[in-house]
Amino acid sequence: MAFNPFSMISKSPTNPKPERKSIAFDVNELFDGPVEGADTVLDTRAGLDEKLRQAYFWIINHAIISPHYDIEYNDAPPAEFDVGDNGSRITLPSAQSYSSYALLPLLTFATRSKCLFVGGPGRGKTASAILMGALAGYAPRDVRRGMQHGHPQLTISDLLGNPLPSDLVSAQSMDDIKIAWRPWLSMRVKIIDEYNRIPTRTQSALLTVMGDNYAEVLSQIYECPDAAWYLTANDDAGGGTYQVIDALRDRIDVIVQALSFNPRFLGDLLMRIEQNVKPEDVIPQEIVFEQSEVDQLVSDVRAVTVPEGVRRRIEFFSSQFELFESAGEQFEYMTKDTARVSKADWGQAVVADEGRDRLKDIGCQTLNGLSVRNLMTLLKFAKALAYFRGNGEVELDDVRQILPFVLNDKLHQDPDAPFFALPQNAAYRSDRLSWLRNLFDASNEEFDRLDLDRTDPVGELAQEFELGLHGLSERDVRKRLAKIERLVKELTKGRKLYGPLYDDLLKCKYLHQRYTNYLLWVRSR
Amino acid sequence: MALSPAFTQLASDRRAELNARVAMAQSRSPSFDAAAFTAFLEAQADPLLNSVLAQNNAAGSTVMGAIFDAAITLTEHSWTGQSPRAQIVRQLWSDVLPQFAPVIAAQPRSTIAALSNAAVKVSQETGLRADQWVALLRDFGGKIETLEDLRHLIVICSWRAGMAHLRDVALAAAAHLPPPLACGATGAGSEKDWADTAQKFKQHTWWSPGTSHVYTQHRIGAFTGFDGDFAAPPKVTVIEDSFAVSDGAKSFSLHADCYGASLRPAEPDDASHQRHRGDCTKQRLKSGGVQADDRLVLVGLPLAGLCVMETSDSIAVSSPLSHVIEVFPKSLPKGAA
Repeated sequence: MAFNPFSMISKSPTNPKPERKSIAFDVNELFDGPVEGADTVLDTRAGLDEKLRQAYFWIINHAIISPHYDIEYNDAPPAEFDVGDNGSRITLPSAQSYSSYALLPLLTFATRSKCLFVGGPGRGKTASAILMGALAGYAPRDVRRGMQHGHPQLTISDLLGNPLPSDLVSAQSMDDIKIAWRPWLSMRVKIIDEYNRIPTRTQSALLTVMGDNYAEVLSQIYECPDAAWYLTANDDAGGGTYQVIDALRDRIDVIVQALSFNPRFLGDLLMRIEQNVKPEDVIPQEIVFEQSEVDQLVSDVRAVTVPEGVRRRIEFFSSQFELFESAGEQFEYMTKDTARVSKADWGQAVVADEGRDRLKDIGCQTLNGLSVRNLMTLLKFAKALAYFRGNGEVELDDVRQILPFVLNDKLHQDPDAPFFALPQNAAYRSDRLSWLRNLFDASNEEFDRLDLDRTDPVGELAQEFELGLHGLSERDVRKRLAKIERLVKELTKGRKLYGPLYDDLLKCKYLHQRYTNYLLWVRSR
Repeated sequence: MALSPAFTQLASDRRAELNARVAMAQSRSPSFDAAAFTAFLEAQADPLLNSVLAQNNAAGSTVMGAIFDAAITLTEHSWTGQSPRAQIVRQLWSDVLPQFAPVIAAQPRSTIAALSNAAVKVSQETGLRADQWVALLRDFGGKIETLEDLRHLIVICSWRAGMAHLRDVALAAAAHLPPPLACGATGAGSEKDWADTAQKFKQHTWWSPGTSHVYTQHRIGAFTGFDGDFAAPPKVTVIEDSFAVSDGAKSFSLHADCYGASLRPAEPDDASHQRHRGDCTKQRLKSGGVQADDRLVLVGLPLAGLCVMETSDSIAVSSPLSHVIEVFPKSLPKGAA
C-alpha cells in the first residue's frame, strides 16, 4: 500500500445542522472514536453531499493551501472591522464559509460543468485540475497524460486524433478511414492547460467537443461521455498567445481566480517539501467518486428546488441589464443585443439613451445582458452550492455567493458608466467579483423597495394564465384582456422605463397575445 | 522486550513508510509519546499481529498497516502508555483482539477500529464495569466470525457491563446472532432457548437469567468536582414512565435494569411534559429504608428530604443532600433462573 500521510478526512457531519437532541441512544456512538476505519462501515446515513463536503475539507486541509474564505455565510451578524485610511473592511463570518478556489472546481465536478482557473503562473491551477481528475477515480498518472497542453503548434490532429496511415492509402471512401482517437476524449474529467495558447482553428475543434460533446476528424465522429472540464489560463482577458474565440469563452460556466499565496502559510509549504508527497497521489479512497456516484450527484443537484421568492429575485436581477431604449424603435428591439449586433456606435447610443438615472440604474453599468446559458448556469450552480451545504432548496445567499463566479466574464462592465467614475467605486473596475455581488445586492434592495415579494400584479396575471385556457368563455377572456390592458396602462403611466418594467410589459404583451389568439379561436367555433 | 521476527520483517519491508507515518503523527501531535508507542508495539501490537498471522499468513502486510496506524492514533490520543486511563486499551489489545484474529484478518481496519473505539467509549462511561466488559468480549470472541456479529457482540457486552440504556438495542442485536451465542452473551447460558430468554427479558426490566454480575440495586451519579455528572444534587422526575433527572443546569434520562444503571444526556423538559410528571411521594418511606412492593430496601442516602419516584417497574430515590441516586426494582421478578 502506498504511503498516504494525508489519509485523514473530516469526520461527519462536516456541516452540522441544529437538530433536536434525542433521548434515544444511537448505537453508532459506541463505535465513534479516535481510531479511523469504523466510520466507513457504520455511517450509512451520510449522503453524497457529505462525501462532497469531506472531499472539500480534505482538499482545503491537505491538498490546496488556500486560506481565502471568500464565499461567506452568516447565521448571526458577523464581526466587521475597518482597516486603513480607505476604510477597507474585513469580515469574520459567523457561519461555515468556503474558499472559492477549492469549492468551485468541486461544484463543477458535481454538475459536470466547465471551470476556468485563472491566475499567474505557479499558483496551483494545473495541480487543482489534476486533483479533480484524481477525485473521479483516475490514476494521477493517467490524469496528467490526459491533460491537453495548449501551445501555438497544437493541431486538430494533436488534439483529437489521427487517421490511421494505412487507411489513408487504401480507403475507397471517407467511411473506410479509421481514426486513432486521443484517449483523453473518453475521460470524464477533461483538462485543457493554458487554453488561450491554442491556435484559433484548433479552438474551433475544441469548441465542438466542449459544446456538443463529440469530436470530428475526416467526417468520423467520436461521441464523448459527459464530463467535467477544467481549463487554465494565465490571463482570462485574452492575454494568451491567441485570442480565445467568444463562443469558447461563453461555454465556460465558472471562472475561479487563484489568489496570491499568503506567506504566513510558508510552514505548510515547507512540510510539503519535506514530506515529498503530491496530494493527488494520496487522495483517500473514501472521497473518490465512482462514476455512478457522480451520476447520482448530478441528479441530486438537479433535484434541489429553487423557491419562488428566490426565483423572482433572480428574474428581477436579470431584467436589469438588457434594456437599451435608444437601440431600437420597436419595443422588442430596445436591447443591448440589438446595438451590439448592429455594431452601432456604442458611445452615441449611450448619449441618446436619456430619461434614466444612469447612476442609479444598475443596467447602465454593463455593456450586455444575460444570456439563457448564463441563467441556466447560475441556477445550476446555485443548486449545487445549496446541495453542497446540505440543503434541499436554494437560499438567496447561495445565489448571492455563486453569482459572481458564474457571471464573471459574462456580464461586461461599461467602463464609461458614471457609476465607475465615483471614487468609492473605482475598485470595482478590477474586482469584478465584488462588483457583481454589489450589483445583485443593489437589485435586491430595489426589489425590497418596490415590495415585490408581496406585490406582483404581472406575476398574478401569469399565474392565472398558467391555470390553462381550457373552458374559458369569450366573456372571461375579454375580462382578462381588459385586466391586462388596465395593468399596462397603470405600469406605463408617468414612469420611466427601467429593465424590470420593460420585461413586465413584454410579459403583459405576451399574455395579451395568447388571450387574443384564444379569443379568435373561441369566436370561430 | 524485542519484537518478533515476523513483525520485524514486515516492518523492515516498509521501513521508510512506517517511519514517515510516525513522523507525521509527531508533527501533528507534539505530545506524541514515542516511548509509549514503542512499548505498545512490543507488548500489544506484536503479539496481536502474530495471532492473526497464525490464522492467515497472507494478510500480514495489510494487518500490519492497520495495527500500526491504530497504534499511532491511540498514542496520539494518549490511549497507550502506563496511565490508568489507558489500561482498558492495553487489556483489550492483549486479551480481546487476539480472540478475533479471523475477523481481523478479513477486515483489519474496521475490526480494530470498532473494538478500540468502543473501549475508549466504555472507559469514559460513568459506573461501567470495564473489567467485565473486557472479560465478556474475551469469553465470546472466539465464537464470532464476521464484523457485523462483532458489532452486535460489543453492544451486548456493553449492556451487560452496565450501559442500561443499550438494553433494547442489545436485545435486538442478540436476535441477529446464532441462538446459543445470543443466550450465552446475554448471560442466560448457551444451552437455554433464545426465544424464551428474549421473552423473559422483555417481560420484566429487572429479570435476569440468574448468572453472575446481576444487580438489584444501583447507585449512580456524583458531583462534577469528582468527575461525576451533577453540579448540584439531582432531582428525579418521571416522564411517561421513564426517569428524568436534572441538576438544574443539565438534564438526563436515567436507565436501569438487572445489569446496571446509566445516565444519558437529554433535552430539558418542556412544558408539554409537565402533565405527565409524577410527584415525589413519601408513602414508601419507612424507618430505615424504602418499602418496595415486596420488600424493604435499605438506602444509603440521608433520610431527611428523601424523594422517592417510581415507574411501573422501578423506584428511584434521591436526596437534596446527595449527588447520588439509588434505583432498584419495585418488585423482584419471579422465575429467575
